Amino acid sequence: MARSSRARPGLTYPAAMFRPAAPLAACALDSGEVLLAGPSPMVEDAVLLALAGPDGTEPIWTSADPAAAQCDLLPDGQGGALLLVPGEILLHVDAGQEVIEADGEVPLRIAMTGGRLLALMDAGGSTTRLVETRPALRDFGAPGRKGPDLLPGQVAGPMLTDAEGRVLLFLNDPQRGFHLWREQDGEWHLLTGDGASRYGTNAAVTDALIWGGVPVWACGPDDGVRAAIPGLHIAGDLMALGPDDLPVLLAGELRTSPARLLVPRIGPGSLLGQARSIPLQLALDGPDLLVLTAEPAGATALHRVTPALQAEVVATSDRPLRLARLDGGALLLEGTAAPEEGEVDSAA
Amino acid sequence: MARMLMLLSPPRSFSSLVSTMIGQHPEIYGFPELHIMMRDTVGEALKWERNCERFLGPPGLLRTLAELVYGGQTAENVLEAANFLEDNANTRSEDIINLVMDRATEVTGAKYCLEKSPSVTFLPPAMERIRRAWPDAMYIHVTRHPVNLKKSMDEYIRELTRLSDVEKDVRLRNSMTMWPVTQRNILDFCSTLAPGQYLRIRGEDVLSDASNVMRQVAEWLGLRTDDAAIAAMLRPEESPYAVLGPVNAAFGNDPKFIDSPKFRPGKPRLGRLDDFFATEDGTRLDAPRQAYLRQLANCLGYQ
Repeated sequence: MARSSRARPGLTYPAAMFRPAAPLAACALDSGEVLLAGPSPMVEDAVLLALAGPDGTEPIWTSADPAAAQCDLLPDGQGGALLLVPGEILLHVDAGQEVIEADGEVPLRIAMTGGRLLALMDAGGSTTRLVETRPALRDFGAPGRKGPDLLPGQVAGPMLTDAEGRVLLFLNDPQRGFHLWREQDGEWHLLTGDGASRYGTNAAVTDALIWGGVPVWACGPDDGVRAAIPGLHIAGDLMALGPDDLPVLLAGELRTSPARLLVPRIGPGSLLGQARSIPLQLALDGPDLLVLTAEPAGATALHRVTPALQAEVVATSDRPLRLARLDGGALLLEGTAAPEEGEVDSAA
Repeated sequence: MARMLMLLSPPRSFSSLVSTMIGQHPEIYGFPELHIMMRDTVGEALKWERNCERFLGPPGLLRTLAELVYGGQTAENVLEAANFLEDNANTRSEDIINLVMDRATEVTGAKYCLEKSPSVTFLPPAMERIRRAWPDAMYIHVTRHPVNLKKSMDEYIRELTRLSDVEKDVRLRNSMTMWPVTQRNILDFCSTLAPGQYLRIRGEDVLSDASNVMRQVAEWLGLRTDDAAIAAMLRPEESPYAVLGPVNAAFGNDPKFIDSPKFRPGKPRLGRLDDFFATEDGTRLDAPRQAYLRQLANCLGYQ
């Protein structure tokens, strides 16, 4: 493992070091500061990691090699965080804010379960394996256990563990939409077939979590789709896994679907229930679900959904917003339209 | 008066079949293609029709007026209807549709009147005109696989006797662009509608799973979903506009549908985008257009 120290203390930059509209991942640390990750404005396609606090935002690490900006930040359960660019970069920022970069093989996806790091590894060909280790050790060379096979073109999406400790993994398939797999008794079971993406064959799962014991996910056209079709607002869905292991549509537009997926449970009448919202990120605030959506004309909105599926808008912005998950709450991050306007706001 | 239900779909997308099926619900009155909302006034719409060599006016509208206002679809009543349109050249187009909607409500008790004119999907201002005229209208967007649509469109173009070979060649070269242009127009328009005002249907699903799709449509509209109502929707041939009209307004729906209006369930064989892009037709699109078409098709459930 290569170790590098944090950047010089006291050197601060505005949050606008992140490009406007750039995808940002965020994670709150026990210190009260927030880690932010996104594309570097200095090196094209490089990933920048920064620490945001009351005094401003400070860059602490930039990737040496350009990497795709699809980065994710995850609390390590010990006051620090892990940064993952699937298959390319894994960093551990420990509670002392030391940045430790992993050498060698990098997971496709990671999840924390019971204080241990669960990593999905590329096992060659179309196979994967799951390795559990402590965050600081990251012994990915261990044999692990078998993961689901990846069909050609499939990409591993969010991974999480449910209330019973079972591993759930979304595979995004450019030909057939997304598929949800669950590991049970050492076997992998396909829970959602092709219809769950409601026939949008390029619909990808962008975020997932457990809400009230139930797996919930946001899905829709990803950044690649939106780049190929500029300006077109294509709706996405907010879905959950029902008690019968069948998917349930919580919010989304009306379109030909398997019968149970035609009418959203959060019906028309709330902003989240209308066709034009694209759920992007999820977080929890006590018993409520927070859903960050993209709205037409580039706006974003944050919705609060109660366990009774009543939804209300709690924040809107003409600028890109991102959510940072906390224990029992979330931080709402507002991107920048101009370099001097970066800011980090608390939402919950 | 009944509420407007508008079906949005480019030509050659099962729109005649799907709209006639939906229009056979006992609480819906299904019109043929009225084509009048392409322009603001009746006179302007008639001028457009004459440019397309339909000299009396839109056949679907003439048949509807004859059926609902003049007592039946005869050649004489079609002429009466044509004179009526001529006399009302300065009337707003939506007022003519409101007239036939009033009559349809009076005669059948319909809660919705269904109109579909594929040509409006080429013209965003025409869709905006419809929205202004009926702010509470409901919309159904019917899609078809782009490769199958192109094949059907090409057959249609080749059969057009009024076009020269050169004109046909130009249209054939451009036929693949019709799908992304019209779908984009429809999606852009529908993204501005109110919650629940818009339902998207794959035409292929109607063919393969008609009962369920029709039941979903009826449920969405808050109409009867009993077996008798759904069964009626599977008999499009019983529509008064599913047969040839009088000689001076024979069509108003797709000629192939009129030739064979019965619903025949089946799973259509879908084209493949990969195969299409490997052909000369596909390579006529440059790389960004290919990416655009592929992603848009994927979004609508086509590969």
